[in-house]
Formats: sequence, structure tokens, C-alpha cells
Amino acid sequence: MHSRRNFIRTSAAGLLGASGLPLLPAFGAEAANSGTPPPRFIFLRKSNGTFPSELVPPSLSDADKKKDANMEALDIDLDRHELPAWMEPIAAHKNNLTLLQGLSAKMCTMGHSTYQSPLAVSRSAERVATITRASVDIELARMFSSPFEHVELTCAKNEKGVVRGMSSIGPKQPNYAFASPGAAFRNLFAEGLEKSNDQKADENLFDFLSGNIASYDARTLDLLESQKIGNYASSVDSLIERNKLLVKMGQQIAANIPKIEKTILEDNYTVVEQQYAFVDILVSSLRAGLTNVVTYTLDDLATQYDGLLADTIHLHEIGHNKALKGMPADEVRSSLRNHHMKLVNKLVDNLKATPEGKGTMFDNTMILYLPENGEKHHSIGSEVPFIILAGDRVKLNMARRRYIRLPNYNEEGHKTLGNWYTTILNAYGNPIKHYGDFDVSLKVNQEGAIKQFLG
Amino acid sequence: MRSLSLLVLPFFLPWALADEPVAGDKVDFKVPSQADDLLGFYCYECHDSGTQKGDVRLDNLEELGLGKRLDLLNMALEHVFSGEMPPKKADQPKQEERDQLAQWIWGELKIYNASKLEDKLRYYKYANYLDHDRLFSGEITEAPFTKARRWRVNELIYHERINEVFELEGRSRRDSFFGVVKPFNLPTDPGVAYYDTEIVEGGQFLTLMSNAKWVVEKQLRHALVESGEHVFSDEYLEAKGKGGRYFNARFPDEVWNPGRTAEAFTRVINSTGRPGAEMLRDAITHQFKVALQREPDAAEMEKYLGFTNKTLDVSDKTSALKKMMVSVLMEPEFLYRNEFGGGKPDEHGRLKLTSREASYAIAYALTDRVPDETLVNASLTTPEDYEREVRRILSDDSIEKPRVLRFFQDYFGYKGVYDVFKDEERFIGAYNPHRVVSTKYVYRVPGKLRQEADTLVEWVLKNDKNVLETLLTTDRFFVHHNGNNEEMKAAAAKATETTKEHRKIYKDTLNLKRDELAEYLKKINQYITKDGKVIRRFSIDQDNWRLLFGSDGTKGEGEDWTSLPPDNEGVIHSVKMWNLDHLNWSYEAEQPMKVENRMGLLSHPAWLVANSQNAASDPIHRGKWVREKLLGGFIRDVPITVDAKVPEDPHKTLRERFAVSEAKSCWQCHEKMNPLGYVFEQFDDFGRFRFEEALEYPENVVDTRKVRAKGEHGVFKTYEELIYRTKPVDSTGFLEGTGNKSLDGPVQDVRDLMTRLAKSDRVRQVFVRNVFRYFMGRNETYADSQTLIEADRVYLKSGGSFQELMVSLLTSDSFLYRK
Repeated sequence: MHSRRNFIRTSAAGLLGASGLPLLPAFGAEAANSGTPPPRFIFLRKSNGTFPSELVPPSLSDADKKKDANMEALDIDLDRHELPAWMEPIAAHKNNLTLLQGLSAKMCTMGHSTYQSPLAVSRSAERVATITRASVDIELARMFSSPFEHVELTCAKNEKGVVRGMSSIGPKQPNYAFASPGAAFRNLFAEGLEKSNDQKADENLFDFLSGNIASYDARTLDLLESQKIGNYASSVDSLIERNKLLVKMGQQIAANIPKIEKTILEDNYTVVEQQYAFVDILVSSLRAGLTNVVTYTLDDLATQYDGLLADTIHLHEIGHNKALKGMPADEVRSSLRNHHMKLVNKLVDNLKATPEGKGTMFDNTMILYLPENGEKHHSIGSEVPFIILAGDRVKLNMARRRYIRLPNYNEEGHKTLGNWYTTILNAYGNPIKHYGDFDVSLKVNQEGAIKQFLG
Repeated sequence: MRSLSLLVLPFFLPWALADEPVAGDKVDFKVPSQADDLLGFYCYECHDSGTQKGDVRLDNLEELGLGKRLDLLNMALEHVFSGEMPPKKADQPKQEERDQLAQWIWGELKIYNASKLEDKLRYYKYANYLDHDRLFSGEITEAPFTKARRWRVNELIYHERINEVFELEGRSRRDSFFGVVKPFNLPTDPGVAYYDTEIVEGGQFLTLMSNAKWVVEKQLRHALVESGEHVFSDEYLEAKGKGGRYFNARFPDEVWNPGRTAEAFTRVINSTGRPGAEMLRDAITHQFKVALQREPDAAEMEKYLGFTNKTLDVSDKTSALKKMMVSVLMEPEFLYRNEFGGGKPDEHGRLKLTSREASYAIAYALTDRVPDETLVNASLTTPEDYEREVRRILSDDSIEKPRVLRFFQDYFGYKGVYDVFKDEERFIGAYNPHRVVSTKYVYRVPGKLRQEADTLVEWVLKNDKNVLETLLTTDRFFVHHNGNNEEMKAAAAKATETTKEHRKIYKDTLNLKRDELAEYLKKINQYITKDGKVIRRFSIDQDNWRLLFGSDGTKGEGEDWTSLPPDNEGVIHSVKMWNLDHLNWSYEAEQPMKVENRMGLLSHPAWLVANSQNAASDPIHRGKWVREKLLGGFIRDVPITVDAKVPEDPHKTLRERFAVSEAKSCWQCHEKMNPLGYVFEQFDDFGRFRFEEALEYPENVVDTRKVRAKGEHGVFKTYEELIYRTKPVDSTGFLEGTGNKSLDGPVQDVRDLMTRLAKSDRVRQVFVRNVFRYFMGRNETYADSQTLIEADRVYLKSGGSFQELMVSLLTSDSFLYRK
């Protein structure tokens, strides 16, 4: 029985944390042992692209604006400049802000839907087999382990429940994402809520499922067929292990349960209400120590946006410059970005209001706001503009008060999405030489971290 | 023997593929002289140190590091196996030489478990890698079979299984359940979507679990309410007391509840004290029956009984009952279709499907539902048994067989019409669905087009003669029609009467003053409120009537005229996609009707729009479809180095602008698509036939005109149509790859192309290959050669009957045997 159970798992890493639940982080052991707070990473994905011009501070000199338009390298202190109007909600956090332009992503799937591509730096499609590696957020989560390892939230497609995620936990393995606040709330904070008899019985249920699936008829000959059951069994096993850990954290979780309206928990909400509820859940899950890394898809092209403007926004149509009840598409885009910044502001405010060590939780946090499909609606990966908000202890010297444009494609010093993620991984102790695929048409050296960003 | 090994590459491999090469292994690598000779003769000319065509060099394999060498060998294997290399203009190796080379490469990759080809060959996208001529040559005598497998259910089957759990029948069966989230999504690319390659993923596990819990709550709901265990919230009770229209919106999960709870479960809930073993056995047996359509065996019963008792120790009887029920719904058997085979292996090492497995295989081949009683009780052993049951289901009109039509939707991919956004200002009228598109309902123009295409396919299937050929060449179509002539005649007659009434109202009210108008409308009791006010709609309709009847109301008066029946989506203007004017077309209720300048489903607006860009036609994807789905060719993904952009030029047609793709480096792939796709330039991106292409650039606007059509809110409005400068369309092309030299060659237009394709044996056989994939849920392998040849023979002999083709495949060894 035991050997069969092991056998059917050999082909499949646990899907609720591909490496199971390592209690000691691989690279972050020092931090874990020293009692210093772990770093946190929040990836905010948005759709429809971000025009690089939208990030340019309006007060740049004409000469710098020209350079920027010509995609020449720039490194400017934001202190002396105004932010674009739509960034007004995060103006108070300017000291923590960096606008990063010029990272290319031609090795990724671009265009309308990019799937796991922008976080895994490779070409991905709907077909699971196209996923080539664990995405960078998952890699970071594994360095600083936590019960849930990594949490993914999504407002894509107006889906509900738990859906396929846009991060990946390994080759051919997409992550899962919570698509409704209710599903996230019930799964993440269950241990902090008073348990009914029914919930107590759940523990037996998982044990039974695990044994039952393990003893399942594995007559088929090859590994791919075994994987079909092995993945399933590993999902249950990971859940059991995680639950054990969560039981120990019950008080801490109970103290940090987010306050979400009942109607929202029952799946009655607008997209905007959903987005704010997810911010609350995100912050609470960090405070409760459930995770250190969250990926949050604010929208995708299929999201039908209600609760923001007078009419429902169809992002795909906006991408095609269709006006919304007479409101030009550009204005709608701007409203959306502005709305996103309000969400970011709430996030930062909440983290700054959370004491941790001698400072706040935000000190150890890095927020990366990126467009899943790069520089426009029909993108080709020429640029992926990033908005970065970083606390004082974030280990990158580029983060805070900078407007940076890296050299243009094929110019000496040009950098890719792979270089950028390598930089973050290296900065936190993962010695990987280069993360992600290479761009085969890029003629300049593209391996390794962006050295000037490393402190 | 070596050649045989390669021949069966796709199914004899162990499938034990590591994702990464084994690291750290250092094995001296040497190209054997025989392989080196073949590489030297057929490959080095283009891929040595001097030429390095496509940046690929093969003469230095021994010098490369392991990773690079394996990548290169994988690429080479794919090219050699698929016959793509050497290029067709170069000297071609004999089949044995190709096999030898491929086998050597595969052997090298296998050392590191690094071959990617086998994995790719499992997916529809790569199905055409197999040599078509070889597949149908008759030289392969392997006994066909399908690999023993678990085939994950799709979202449609999963949904129907939940209907079974609730024991719902007839009209009680539901299209959706509030608390059930679709755990799986079929791919949306054109082609066969439902394959056996999918697995239950981690995220899906959580969804499945929450679905199962919801289902169980509902299963027990009635009994729990009766016993008082289900506690309604105060908010609910208050709202319930008041009633009112928003009740369902506030409590959506209360919209549907099953009216009863199974007796076996009710007994447990109502039991006093701890429920006994017999009671629990009944409950377990019942849940097995409704979920898995069988009783538990002795071992399962003991296991479940033990689990339920253990749960009873820590909770209560209701919780324990629920967990048992959820567990059954989480059984792998609920989520996967098992096809292992049973009994003794035959002389080829194959096992026949067990009778139970076969009953599911047949049921799910044609329907989304579990086997019916007759199928369950049928002893399914011989092909004759299978044939009897397949024919029974096919001939029984009371059994819904959605899988048959779905094949054509998948294969032709015209459901892709939903995915292409169109600008309504360009279209002049409402177009895009603004609601979530389900598989069941008609939504706006895309939904209507899809339904018209479905109706055409159903009509062709009803006749069941030369099905493929008719679909490729018919000049008859359904326009604004649901396929039921009697129904449409009645609807048209009613609409015509209404038009007459409207003409009368229009004429009667032409010169009335405001008071007189109100008096008149009051008399006819239309367009007027209780307070005697004329509603706004009257002036909107008046504007339309002016267009229909002329300013004095006499236009067309007395003519034999039939009005278009209304559609539910307010898009009667969609007939313009058939080059008809909704204001001037006297409706034909007897359909299918002949439509000028169209030939076959590939000239149907649904297909044309599905293969169009947002604001332009799409000769590349239209050509790609013909190459892959009819000619059995394949096109590689766009290389990541290519920025595939069509240059803008206000003076050129799209075809002229596509000249960039005729550059040498692009033409290698585009040659397979453009000459086929250009032929469809006869149709614009809305599927309208044209001789002239509008050059849609601001500088080319030469005029504007006002057009009335319904807008997005279903109300008529006036659009301003821009009239552009035009250029003549060039729809000539070139057909190559039919396997028949008399059919290949320059083509004039769609009619010419379709006529030739319909005559091609290869096109027919590629169609058979696709039908095979659909019903087997996998790609064909060379071992399926005999099944395919027989299916093709049956199709031909039966005069092109799709029904006979299905029977042939569903009684074939490929369907019956597992290995």
C-alpha cells in the first residue's frame, strides 16, 4: 500500500505547492532563523497593456522627453518631477516609487492573452504542456516558505470559485487562483474561524480521500497515465500537510481575519467590490503569515468591469479603442489605471499601518504592477512597463524615487524581463545565473542580473 | 525492424519523459557513420559551417554541449519525422532512410529521456505530422488499438453527471447549477477539442471539492429542512415573507432546490442516536448508484463504512453522512472515464474494453450522458454488439446526440465567431454579444450566425449523402431561419400582417396633428400611455416606416412581399452579411435557399468571421485552415524572432500589403497559406461577398450615408456609414497538396477552389482522420492505419454517409481494444 502510494506520486509534484510544504526555505534560511521578517512580494497583473508613454512624468524636460520617446536610457530622480495625473492616488508614496521602462519580452507569448508567460519568461499558450517552468513569483515564494507558499487571486473573466491561475508551479503545471473573495476567504482563513462539526469532519475527509486515491487502480502502463491519478493524490496530500501547519497558527489567523461583507462572500458583487475585497484578503493573508507572495490579476481582456463607470466596461473593446457611451477609450483606460492606483494605495496604506519588527510590514515588501501583455493591447513584447513600490528594506538599490528607462532593444545595455527577474532572485539569495528563456533575436548579451540594480 | 520501431514511435514509447534532460551525465557522443552519411547527403548542404541556413548547423553535433545538442536533435527529429525536411525541392530520402535517421536521433534523445516528439504527437495540433500517404497506403498491417487510459470528463459530461446525482430527468434536468463552478474548460482553438490528454489539476481539485460539497448540501436539503436542521437566516425569512421581484437576485442559491432527498439519506438524518451499519450501507450504496451508476463492491463498502464510522466518532450523523457523500463525488471514477480493457489479451497483446467500459465509451461518443439502461444491460463483446447499440442510439430521436453536431462545430471552428470583436459603427448595427456566451443560447450576431451554420450542418446530416462534399460545395443556406419551414412560414406570415398594419397606421397618421394623432392611437390602443401620451417608440417606428413604405406610404404597396420575422436578438440587419438588405429583402420562408456567389460552409459568414481580424479579412488564417483541416498539412508556430506585422498603406488592398510575407524567409511557411487564403478575399471580414475592397483609411473617405439599424440597446438608430475609395479584389490563388495533379494548380475563386477540394481523395481522407480523432479522443497513429482505410472505404461505399462513417469507427479495433 505504502509503495503504491509513493509510486503514484512519483510522477507528480504536489499541486498545492509543487515541492510539498518545505518548512525550511532553501535560500531564505538565514532570515527564517534570525527572526527577521521575511520579504514579501506582490505581483499585480493588469490587461490591455500599458502604453510606455503613460508612465512618463509630464514635467520631464523636452530633451528628456525626446530621449524617452527615442527609447534612450534615462535615470531620473522622481523628487523633482510630477507624476502622471492618473498616478495621483499613490503620490503620497512617491518615496517608495520607481517607474521602470524598457524591459523587452519578445521571448514571451504576447498579444491578447499571455497566460503564464510574463511571469515565467517563456512562451505559454492555453495548452498546459507549453508551460516550461515555475514562474518567478512561485520561485520567490519557495525561498521564503509559508503554509500556502503562494496565493493567487484573480478577477479575470468574472469567474467564480477556484480556477486555473496565471502563475505556474512547474513545467506543465499551472497554479490555481481564487476567483471570488468568498472562495479565498473560506480556504485561507478557515482555521481562524470557529469550526462546526462539519468542518471538523473535513479532516477525516482529506485523510480518507488521500488513502482512497492512493489505493486506486493504477493498472495503466505509462507515466503520463499515472500522472492523472498522481497529481490528484498529491493535491490531497499537500492539503493535509498544510492543514497541520494551519492548526498551529489558528490564533494568529483568527486575529487577522479580514472583514468582508456577507453579500460579497456569497458571490454577489461588482468587479470593483471584488477587487477591494481581494486587497483586504491579500493584506490579511500577509499579516496572518499565510503567505509571503501574492499574485493578483486585477483584470483580463474578458473581464466585464462593473461598478466603476456608468456602463459595464468591456476591456477588449476598449483595447480596440471603442468608446464607452461617448467616453473615448483613452479616457476609459486612464480611469481604469487611476482605479488600479487607488487599489495599490489601499494596499500600501494597509501594509504601512501594520507594525513589524522596528518598522512596518511595508518595509519588507515589494509591489510590482505590470501589464500582462506589455506595451499595448496587441503587443509584441517590445516593452513591459513596471510600476514598483518598495519598502526601505527591499534589497534592490534601484527601487525608490526613480524614473528609469533602460537602453533600447539591441542597444548595448538593453535588458529583458528575464534579466529583471534574475536580478530580484539574485538579490534575495537565489544564485540562478539567468531566469527565463532567451530572446534568440536579441544580439546583445542578455544573461544574468541587471548589475546596477543590485545593492 | 528498425523501420517498424519508428513506425510505431508514438505508441510504443514508454512515455516516461522527464521535463529536463538528466543533468550531469557525461557520455561521449559520436555520430555513427551511417547517420553521418545520411546527414551528409541530405542535410549538410544547407546546414554546415558554411551555409547554416536558418541559423542551424548539423555538422558539429559532436562539439556541442549536452543541452544544446539535445535541443538541436529534438528539432531535427521533428523535421525528419514530419517529412518537413529536407525541403520538397531538395533530394528526398527514401522512407527507410528517413526512418533510420529519425530512429537514430530518437535513440540519442532517449538516453536522456529528452525526446519531446512523443509528447507533441499526443496533441491535436501535431496530428498532421504523420505521413498521410503512408497512413492510407495499406502497407501497415498492425492490429489497431488505443492505449489503455483514463480520459478526464469534460465540463459538459461533468455537468450531466451532476444531473444524474440529483436523479433529474426530462425537463427537470438543469442547464446550470448555481453552486457548481465549471472545473474544466475545453480549448477554444479550431479542431477537435476533447482529447484524453487532460488531467485534474490542483486548482481544479479545490473547485471539484467545493462543487461536491454544494451538491451534497442540495441532495440533503429537503430532509434537513424537514428535520429542522437547516436554519434559514433572518434576512432570508424576512425577504421570503415579503416576496418581491428582487428575492431571487438576493438569494440566487434559493432559486432551485431539489424537491426531495433520497430515502436512504433521509433515514440517516432522521435516525435517533448513532445510525446503524445497515442504514449507512444503504446510504453508501445509494450515493454510489447516483454518482457512479453502480453499487460498491465489498472492499469499497467496508472502506466507506469504516470512514463514515470514524467521522461519526468526531462529529455528528449529518456531517458524517455529508463527508461520505462528498468522498464518492471525489472518486477518480467520477472524474475520469476508465478504459483499461479486461479479459485475456489477444494474440496482439490487446485487451477488449469490458462491457461496462464499452457502454460508457459508446454513450460518451454520441451524448454527454451516462449509458442508458439498454446500453448498461447490453452485453458488449463483439463489433456486432457495438454496431447494434450505436445504430439504436443514432436512430432513436428521443436520445439527444449533441456530440454529432459538435464535431462539425469543432472541426470547422465556426464557433470562433464569438471570439472576434467587431466595431458596431463599422458594421452599422448591433453586433457583439454583451452577455456571457453559453453553448446553448443565441447571442446577437455571432450567436445567430453560429445557429445558421448549425442549421445548415444539421440539414446536410439529415440527408446524410456526400456529407463532406455537400458541406464544401452547397450553394444553399439558411438565412434568418431556424431550419423549420413551417414555423418560419407562420412567423413570416404574422410579420407580413404586422407590416401591413404598420403601413396603415403610417398612412393614416401621416398628416395628423398632435391631438388627432393621440386620438387615433388611443382608438387603435397602440403607442399610447394610459394618460393619453404618445410614446417615444412611435416616432422611432415612424422613421423606419418612412424608409420601408416611402414618404407617402405607397412604396411597394400591393406587391407580393413577405416581411422578415423578428429575431430574439434584435439583429435582423445581420442578413447584410449575406449581401441582403433587411429593409428591402422579401423574405423566403422556404429554406435552405440558393445564395448567389457562395459555395459551401467556408463561404458562410460564420466561418469567414471566425477566420477574420477585427477590422479586416484574414487570408493567412483562412489559408491555414484549408491547409491543415482539409489538406492535412501543418504550419509551424510563428517564430519568436518574427514581428508579424502587415504594413499600413492607404493605397493598397490587404492582399497587396501582404506582399511582405512573400519575402524568401517568410515564404517557406506562407507559401502553404497565402495562395489558399487569398481566394477568400472575395469576402470581407463580415463575410460579405465583394468585387471591390474598401480601403478603410480616413484619407479614402469619399462619401457618407445614413443607415437605420438597431443599436446595442435593441432600438433603431441612425448610423453614418463611411464610403471609402475602393480597389478591385484579386481572389486568384493556387492549390497544391491535394495529392492529385489534375486538381492542383491556379484557382480563380472560392467556387473553383471548393469544387476541386471536394473532388480530392486526400481531402476526404483528412476529414476521416479528423472524425477519427474526435471519436477516439486522441491523434491517430500509424497503427490505426487499417481503421482509417476501412472508415474511408465505408464512407465512400455508403455514398458519403456520416452515420456509416461513425458506425465504422465506433466498431473498429481502435475503439474496441486497449493495450
